[in-house]
Amino acid sequence: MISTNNEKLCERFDDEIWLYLDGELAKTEMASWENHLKKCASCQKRLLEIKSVELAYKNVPAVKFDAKQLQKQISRAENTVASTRRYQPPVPPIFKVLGGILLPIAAAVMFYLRLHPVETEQNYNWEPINFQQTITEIDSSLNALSSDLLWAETGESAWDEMRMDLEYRIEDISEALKE
Amino acid sequence: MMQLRTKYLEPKLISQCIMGDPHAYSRLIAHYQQNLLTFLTRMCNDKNQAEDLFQETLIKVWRNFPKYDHRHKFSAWLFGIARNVAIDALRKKKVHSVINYTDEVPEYSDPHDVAGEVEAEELHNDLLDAINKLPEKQREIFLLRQHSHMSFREIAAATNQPLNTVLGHMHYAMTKLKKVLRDYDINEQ
Repeated sequence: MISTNNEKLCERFDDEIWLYLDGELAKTEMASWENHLKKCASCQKRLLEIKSVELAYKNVPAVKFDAKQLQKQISRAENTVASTRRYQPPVPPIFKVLGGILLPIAAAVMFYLRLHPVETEQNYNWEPINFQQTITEIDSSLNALSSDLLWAETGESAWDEMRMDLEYRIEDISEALKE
Repeated sequence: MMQLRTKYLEPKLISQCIMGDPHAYSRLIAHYQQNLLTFLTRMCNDKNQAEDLFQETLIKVWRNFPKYDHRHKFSAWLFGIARNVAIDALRKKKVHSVINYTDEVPEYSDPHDVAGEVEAEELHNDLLDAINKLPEKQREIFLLRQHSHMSFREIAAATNQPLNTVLGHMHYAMTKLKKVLRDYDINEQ
């Protein structure tokens, strides 16, 4: 009876021997098989035979390849793979940290400024300059000045010349702005 | 040393490979090349073909790097791809030539033990011959186990087979290979 039980146990070990070798059985099962192995010569032999085959295969000399040829193959593969995907160098960790901190701060500041805009010169609505109107204003100012006694001595033609000069200069500015 | 490499250097090289650094790739592969080539040679029984398959594996691994899952062992993933490449080649070839291992010269530590050398060489040849004669599935599982150091669960995942099927293949392969060793009375020594 004991012998039959033992045989069944040995048959089970034959099924589980690989998982036992991989240590992939539950702790209790592992302990149970270790216990069994201490007593069972037949299972010890099974285990030894497997290890002997594996050891014998390990001792078979590896297939020899020409080292230069191998290096060439690796280089060839390196060249082939280099042409298939572009290398993206890694981002240094410091930039990742800075990016992680600064970006949310910048986003928060922008959001705050959108809600509470700061009144600077940039916020004023500048009306487009009307050069014609400006010239007219300058013209009328000059006319007013020419009527003044102090300036009247310079004569009409001098005022006209100055006005013309001013008009040309404003036109130049206007053209330059258009360009 | 191996553990240090697997723990620290390898993940760094893998990350660089995912970003597309070919130099990191050649460094990563250099570590596996001998084992990978031996695996491919024994899978297809042809050294020259193994070199071509090695090249094909390198390109396939590189192209699939963006799909690599960090939770899995890199060696398991690499050998899984190599295995697929070899299986495809075998299907195309569909010819099982008898392996010629005459180019594999064993190196022995004791040059005076000639009898030992001869016997060891015979054992190696018989063992390789027996592996060569294994059915394709059994040979594949045996070689994956020996070269990739994957657990059987990992092999089952890599080969898309149920765990019990994988264990069955290994069991039958091992039964046949044990016979070779019994002829040499290895276990009795």
